[in-house]
Amino acid sequence: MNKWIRGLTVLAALVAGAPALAQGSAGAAAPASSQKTALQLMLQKGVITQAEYDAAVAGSTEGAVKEIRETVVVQATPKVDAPPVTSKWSATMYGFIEADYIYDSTQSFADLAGNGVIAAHGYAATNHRMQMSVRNTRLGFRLAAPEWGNVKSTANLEMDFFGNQPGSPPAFSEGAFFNNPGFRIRHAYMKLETPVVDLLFGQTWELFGWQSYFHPNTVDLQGVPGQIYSRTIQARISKTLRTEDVTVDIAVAASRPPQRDAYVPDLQGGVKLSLNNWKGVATAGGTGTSIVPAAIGLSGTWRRFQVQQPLAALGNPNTSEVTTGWGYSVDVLLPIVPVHGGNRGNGLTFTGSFANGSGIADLYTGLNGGLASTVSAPGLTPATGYVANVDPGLVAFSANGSLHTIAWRSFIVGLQYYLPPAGRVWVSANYSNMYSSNIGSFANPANVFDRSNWADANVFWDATNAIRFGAEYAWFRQNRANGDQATNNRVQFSAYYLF
Amino acid sequence: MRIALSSATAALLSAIVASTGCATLRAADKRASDLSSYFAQHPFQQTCDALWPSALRVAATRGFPLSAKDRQILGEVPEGIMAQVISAATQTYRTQDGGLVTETDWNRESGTRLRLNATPAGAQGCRVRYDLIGGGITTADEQQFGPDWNMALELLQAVDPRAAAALEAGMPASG
Repeated sequence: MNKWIRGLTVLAALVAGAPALAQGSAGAAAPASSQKTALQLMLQKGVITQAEYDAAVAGSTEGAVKEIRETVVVQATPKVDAPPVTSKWSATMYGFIEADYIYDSTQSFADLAGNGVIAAHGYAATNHRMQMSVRNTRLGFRLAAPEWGNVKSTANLEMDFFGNQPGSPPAFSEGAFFNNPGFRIRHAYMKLETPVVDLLFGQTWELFGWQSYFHPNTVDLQGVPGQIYSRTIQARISKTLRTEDVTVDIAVAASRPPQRDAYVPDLQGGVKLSLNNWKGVATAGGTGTSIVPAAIGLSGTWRRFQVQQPLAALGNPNTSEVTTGWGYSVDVLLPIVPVHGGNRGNGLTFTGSFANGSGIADLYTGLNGGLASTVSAPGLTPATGYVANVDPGLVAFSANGSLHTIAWRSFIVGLQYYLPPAGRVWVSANYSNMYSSNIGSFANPANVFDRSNWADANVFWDATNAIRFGAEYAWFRQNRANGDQATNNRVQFSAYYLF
Repeated sequence: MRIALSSATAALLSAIVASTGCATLRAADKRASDLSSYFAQHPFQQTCDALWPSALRVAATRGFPLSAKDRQILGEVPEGIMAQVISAATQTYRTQDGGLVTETDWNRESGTRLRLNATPAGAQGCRVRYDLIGGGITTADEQQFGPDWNMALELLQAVDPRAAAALEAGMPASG
């Protein structure tokens, strides 16, 4: 056998015993013994010769063990006068594996229900559905460069498996949809923290609603109906003012325009006030449990739309119609029963958000209210081949060809209570309500919903620090603009491996 | 759906929430304020280098895992390679003013981690802060939540128990 291979094998056997040496002198005898056993095994298998075995046991082993032991002892001794001082890049991997088992009383939703339209009539409204999905599994990397002067730079890359696929069932294979999901970027941004301001470039939570601080605790895949839940590319400037008792965050952001052909960024701004000594425990979604301070956030958005005129009488192509959208959000996280010293047991926390605006459907998940086109108003005749250069649900043309933003008003409130003694089991409940004052004017009222109600009740159990289980009952109801009502009941069980 | 809540019930609930919250907040504020004032006026009477192992030990004792290099300062065995890959902890580094900084991994019970900062105060003194970081254990939403002065008090208990006892005697309980 090649001498190099034998040499490396002996070395591997020696190194294999080395970590145990770090246990200290009490553990020193055991590693030496385990090395000898390993060497004997290699001798029996013919990996090394008798001469090599004798040499290793007699000389090399002792020398190597002594050297390793001295190294470990020196490193293990507290260097009181000179702690190791280094400056290195750090990279952390994080995320979770999530397995979802979902029953729905109608055939309206995929695994992520969002603000999808519930079937009100027909086969889909009266038949059930069972889905199993791992698409909400998540993988992230957090990078931090050494601080340079007073400047701290970090970056974050986070993905899940809700990526674009060729289509969704039934047009596309269910097996492919659930078993071979596409990777998708959730966050990809860099952040520069300076003594003056902090700068952020890339894709992450939108500033509107101060996401994700005020998100509700639910097993349901976010965003749930009525919840501001959106990420996009942006350039953000923020400043954090800290005192002992209060932290104030102020931020402005130029975000990706909701319509690229309007060529003006979505402008967002906000202020958040946190009470540092009033801490509670909160879980955002199903996994992000943390002790957090009480906070209230205010935020707003302004956006522009410029859409090609659709009227057949005017020809195609034609001039543009311009309008603006706006919105504001008030968000609260209130530890009704605060927690102390890291123990979340008996913690009771309230979360609430109220949002109002027009042309802001993209700030919710999958919301268009059933308005699949900008030119579906009764009496409106678009030119042949007309395709609106804007996503559906944000704006719509009236019969006379004028452009309007779609108004939405929503609130979502929730309570989460962590059972004593340690808070490893907890329950939560949420309720949301949405209303649109004008969506019924821009489509057949039977096809769009102008009211939505949603409520759920959840129970979570942290079986270990890495394993979590959650179960939920959720009730979805939508009122069509013509008065019809559609309801879906969902039962979901989820298992999480958190890392 | 309409939720009917009489104005009297709503007022009662609001009052309970407000009074509970306000009383708790006042006590917590007073304690934090007292501790903050004390540590502003009384830096630890050791150099930061000498104090650092004790400061790390307070964090480790509270369930905040240290990086492999910082564990070695305490004479502990580094964790395995996989644990290091998913650890958010950084190793100790020196700042321009001669101070020391490090960050711990996540305490998975509280969903928080710590940033430890030791700043020289004169030739033989040092100020130590334990800033809480939360919100990002499995997400990109990491935020710094300000100092936990109770941990500075624990450090004082470790290095100067008499001073710590005297300080605690005049403060509200930690709850």
